[in-house]
Amino acid sequence: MSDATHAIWAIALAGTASLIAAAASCADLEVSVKGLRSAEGKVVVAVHQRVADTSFPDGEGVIAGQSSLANPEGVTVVFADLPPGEYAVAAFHDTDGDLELDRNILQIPIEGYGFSNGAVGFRGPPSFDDAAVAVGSDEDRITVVVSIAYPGF
Amino acid sequence: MAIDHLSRRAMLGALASLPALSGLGALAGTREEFNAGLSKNPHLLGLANAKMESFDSGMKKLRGHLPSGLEGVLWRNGPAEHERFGDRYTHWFDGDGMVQAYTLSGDRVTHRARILDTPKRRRETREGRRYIPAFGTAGSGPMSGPDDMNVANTSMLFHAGQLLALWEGGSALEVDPETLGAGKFKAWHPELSGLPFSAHPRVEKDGTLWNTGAIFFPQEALLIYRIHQNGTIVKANLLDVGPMGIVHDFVVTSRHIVVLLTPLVIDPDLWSDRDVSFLDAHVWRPAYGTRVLTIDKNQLEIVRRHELPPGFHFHHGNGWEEADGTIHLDVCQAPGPEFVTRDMREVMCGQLNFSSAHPRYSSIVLPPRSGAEINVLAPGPVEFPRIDSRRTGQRHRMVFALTGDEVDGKWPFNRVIRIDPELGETDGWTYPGHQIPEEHVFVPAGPAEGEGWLLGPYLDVRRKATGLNVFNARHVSAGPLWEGILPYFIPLGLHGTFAAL
Repeated sequence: MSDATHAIWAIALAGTASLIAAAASCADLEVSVKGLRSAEGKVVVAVHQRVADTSFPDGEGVIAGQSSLANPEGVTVVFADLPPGEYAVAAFHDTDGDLELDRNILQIPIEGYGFSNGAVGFRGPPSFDDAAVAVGSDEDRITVVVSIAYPGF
Repeated sequence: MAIDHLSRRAMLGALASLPALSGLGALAGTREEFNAGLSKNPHLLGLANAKMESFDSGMKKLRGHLPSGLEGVLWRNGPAEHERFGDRYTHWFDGDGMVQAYTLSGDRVTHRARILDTPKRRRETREGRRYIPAFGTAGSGPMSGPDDMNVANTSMLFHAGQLLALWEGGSALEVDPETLGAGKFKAWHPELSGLPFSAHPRVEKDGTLWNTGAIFFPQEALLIYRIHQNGTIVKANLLDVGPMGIVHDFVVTSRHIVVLLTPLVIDPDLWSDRDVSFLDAHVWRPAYGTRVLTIDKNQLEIVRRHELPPGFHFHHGNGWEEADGTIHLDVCQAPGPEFVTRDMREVMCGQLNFSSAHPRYSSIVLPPRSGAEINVLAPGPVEFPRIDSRRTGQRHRMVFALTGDEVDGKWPFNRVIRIDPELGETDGWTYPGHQIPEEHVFVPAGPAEGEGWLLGPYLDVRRKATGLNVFNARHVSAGPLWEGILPYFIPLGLHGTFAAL
């Protein structure tokens, strides 16, 4: 259990865009983040791909990340030109703007967070499969909604 | 599982451990089943649902005079929504908490009660169903942390001007002292946010507050808190104590914190099964004995260990320490956990048996270098012990508690008593057969120990109403100085606290 919650969502924002090779069949992934309870700080959104032998959603599977100013009316970010495949989206409300998901002494998140597909975990984060969305080769744009839930609220 | 500090005898015995009683057997745990039981036995009224989410009323005086100088608020808490959306919980400790305020002012007592609308309860309201796991009832909700199932239903604390509703498994919940509305969860420090803050903190005469928090995920650990009289955290420490289960209470002495770990411990395999409730994830391993941890108050580290025979308890009276380091404490201890694992389930299903062995008032001595001893002090069942809180951590000669005659088909407690922890019962008053006393809280008046009053709420099953008695704490046998009654009943509650106005 502790492995699953340890070091989760160490989302690497720098340099990830260059990992994505542009190709003719690529599609845009639009992520709509809902349920933010204030305009304080930022929203951090990361797109993950499946990585063998690694617990989702740690940093290993992150292929792209973006941050945006928080807005209780919703925040939309677009990840352009994703090759066809399975992806999972994780987002958190970075109220103190330090680009890290704050956690307590036992590594349980204390800032609001959410996943694609409305995936939720049981005493830990959900699995990649629960949060996975398919990006096909014949679509221009896929829209995913991530609802933020706040621990203890 | 870290069991390196257990004795060899305990290690060998652990191989023959037995699972705790679990589940409901032939009982269905439905509302209809409970109502059928209630129609036959009015003493089950205390486990019925609160009729409303909020109550406000004056108390009607039945007899006597309110003592002059007795001015303040008794806040109480307890599970009160045993059913929601037609679904009944299967354990007394599961339901959403209801906070009550009895305000004593002049010659009047007024009462206010509110269901605590916790985040857990609001989620169930939005979904229109009861589905989140509870202490003794499994559920299906997401669990990002313990507060996702926090029902804030066990006790109240008023400290540094702040009123808090306490539960055992999660954070304290801030409560508005006037409206009794639920606020946010208390974070003593960002790194302690969302972690358990138990329901029996100990507050010393100078206002220093001590507490524990038993953590079961993502790892097992015992959290110790030291909080300044001004409400800020001074220090906290996370201890690996080995196999652990419910840790409900503890004591402090002048130099130490003493925690008893019973042999009712979490089984990791059961606990990883989301169809098993927290209570049912426990197993009874008597070979572990009762492990006694003595923790230094400054370092918050374990400095001594003792072992006592196996037993199960919720509550302590008090602890104190001699100059040579000998520690004394008292406990309401039963031979096993069946009164919580079986009886408190059956009562929710409409069967008031309480046939299991009840806790006995027992005195424990922990010499600094030799073995520990435990001796039973009073012959009958004893629960809900309270002291003159000004004696917290110091030698005490008075404990106020409930006892009873263990009559089949009735609640096991029908008498309020004063116990001298060195002699046994010294004073008491028996309630009429149609009344069930709840925890009696001491309120100080004069400077000497026990010089003051006892505030004793009770449930009158004939009137279907909750009442309040006021006793002279040093002459309980003289009966109530004042008695008042409400026009409604509140389900039997657990613990409370008094603050002078």
